[in-house]
Amino acid sequence: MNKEYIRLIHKNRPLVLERWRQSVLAFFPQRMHSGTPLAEALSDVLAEILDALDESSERVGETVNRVSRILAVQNFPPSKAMSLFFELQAILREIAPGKVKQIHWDEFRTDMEQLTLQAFDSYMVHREKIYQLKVEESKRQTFMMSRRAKA
Amino acid sequence: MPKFAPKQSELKKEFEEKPSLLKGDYPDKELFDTPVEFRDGNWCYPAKPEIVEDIGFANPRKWSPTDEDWKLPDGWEKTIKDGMKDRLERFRSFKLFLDICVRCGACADKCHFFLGTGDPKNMPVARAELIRSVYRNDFPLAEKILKGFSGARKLTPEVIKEWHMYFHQCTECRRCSVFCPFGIDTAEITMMGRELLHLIGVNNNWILEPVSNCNRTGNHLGIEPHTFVQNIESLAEDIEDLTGVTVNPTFNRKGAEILFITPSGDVFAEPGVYTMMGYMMLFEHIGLDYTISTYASEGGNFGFFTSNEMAKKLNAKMYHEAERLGVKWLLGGECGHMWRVVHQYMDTMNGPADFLEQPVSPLTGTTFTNAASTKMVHIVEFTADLIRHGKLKLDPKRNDHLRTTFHDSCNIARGMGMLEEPRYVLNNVCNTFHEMPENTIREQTFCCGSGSGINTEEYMDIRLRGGFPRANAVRHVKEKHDVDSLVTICAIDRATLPALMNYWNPGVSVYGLHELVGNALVMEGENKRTEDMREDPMAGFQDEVEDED
Repeated sequence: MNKEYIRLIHKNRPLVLERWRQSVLAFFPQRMHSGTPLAEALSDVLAEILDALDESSERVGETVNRVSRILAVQNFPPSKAMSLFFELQAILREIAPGKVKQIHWDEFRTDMEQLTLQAFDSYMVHREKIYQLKVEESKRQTFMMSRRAKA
Repeated sequence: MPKFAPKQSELKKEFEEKPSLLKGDYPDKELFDTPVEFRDGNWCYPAKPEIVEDIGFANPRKWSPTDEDWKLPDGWEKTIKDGMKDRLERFRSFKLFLDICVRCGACADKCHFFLGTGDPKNMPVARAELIRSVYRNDFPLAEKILKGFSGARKLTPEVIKEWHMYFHQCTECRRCSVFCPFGIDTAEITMMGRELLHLIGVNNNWILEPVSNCNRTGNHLGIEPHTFVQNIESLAEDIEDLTGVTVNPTFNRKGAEILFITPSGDVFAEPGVYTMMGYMMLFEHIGLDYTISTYASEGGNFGFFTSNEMAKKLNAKMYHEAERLGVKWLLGGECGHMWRVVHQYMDTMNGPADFLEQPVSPLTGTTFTNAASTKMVHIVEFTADLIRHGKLKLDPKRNDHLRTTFHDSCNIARGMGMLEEPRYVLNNVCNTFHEMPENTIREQTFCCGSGSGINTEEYMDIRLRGGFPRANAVRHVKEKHDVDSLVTICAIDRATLPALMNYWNPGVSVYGLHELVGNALVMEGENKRTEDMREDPMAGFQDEVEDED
């Protein structure tokens, strides 16, 4: 763990996680209730992202993928979904104002922007996936018809 | 003071820390003041005018939920109010359910749509309140007592838009009713809501087109009799290619002992067709004297999602065909809502079927007393009985390439209380079966999120949200037990769960129970089996062949 902001996040993990969770649940038009399976899944994956920050990029990618899968089917615009890591930045700045040198904030911002771009890629993959599912479903519905047409 | 009662300080702390309405922690708008917004992915295409005309439903026209003006017919308010009055008189359950809810909220977090979307109007209590609020405002006795409070409101086009949105975000799965202390069946309120909407032409093409097809041709896709036969014969050829065994289904054969009716999805769609192959192999294996009708060629009943009368009309063909063909009793395939209609309504809608006999298994002699009145037996209880009496030669190792879990279909589990039979069959045809968490199966099963006529592609976003609780439970067994196969006994599940799994749990495939039965059956005179019905290799059997080679 050689990045200052990661050290800060891990030191304040419960508080950071709880605030991040609340801010993400507030993305939903009527604020998602924290006891729902969806909120629990979101909470789990947000925690995993925090834990994965100082791990391999593959592990981080996996967690970003999971959260994007959830966000890509929700009833809010992509811009809101993609503000996920900006929220995390705001939370950390609130928790540790003045304690961190600018150079560490810059590093933090760069990493969060990188994660946002990664999340955007994954978000788009999942949106595309939804269209692919529609095509596959249509094909399954006409399975016998197309089989006969090909015969 | 009882020692377990909370202390004043604890209550104070809870009040201060927990968000509540009293402190204004929730949006300051009333629930009903939040407008509905139709956007791509959250609405189904309305029915084509020619289809609405074809079945004699109201107000055929071109329109879209995204339009400001829905082109409702003149006097639509009166039509709705008269329709509601009529239904309040005809259906005591409707009146009772509108009157007795105390809004305790026990149902609130039980709905998969609420859990998957977080939208408060998807709490069953709130969804019912969409109608209840109009009832309170407009009906004489309730009006006198309750007008002006308790959420009474006027019937406006906005209310109709809200009804349309939220009565199509209910799959009539009835999970909420399991938890209601009064036994309120919100599904019946949704049914009434949809019936009322149909009176003014607010509809869904994915429901009405199958209704029209079924009304005309006998099945949802409108498959003509000769094509229906060809499809099944083509599947019979597949069985022969795969096993070397010839199966001989018959069609419209008078004097057969049993008429077999299954959802038409099993005859035209993948993966349903593999389940159909499983049925045919089973019937061949036991030498069943059965026939299939090309007219009563649909077990499902989308009429059930429109009106009581249309459900009755589409259902009637089952008994009509049984009488015409002179069979003794009916056997039904794996389906969900088909069985709610058959089990709970058919007998009083179109029965009594005095021309049929009480079903008795010709193989085991078991009398199906549960079907004494309807004369229709579910294939799973029929097969479970065969296995119980040792009438099937099964090799569960043939399903060793699958690690299964079982999805209880809402209408089978909650609608007819069949919980053990599918598990009994599954445990006899495969070696690896893991249950999902307790509060997601049996009578507490989570819906696939696409039932009751909303399994259309343009509604995919909502379906993926509504199906999330089910997918989440599958994910649990996938991670814990490496499950890769979701077995189900419903045609809509087979049609829609593949998309749900593909999105949330890639790597999990969907199977019909009788597909696995077909895999496991050791047929007389069969070739050596190395592949399952989908031509996927069976674990261990490939090696055997290679060794012998």
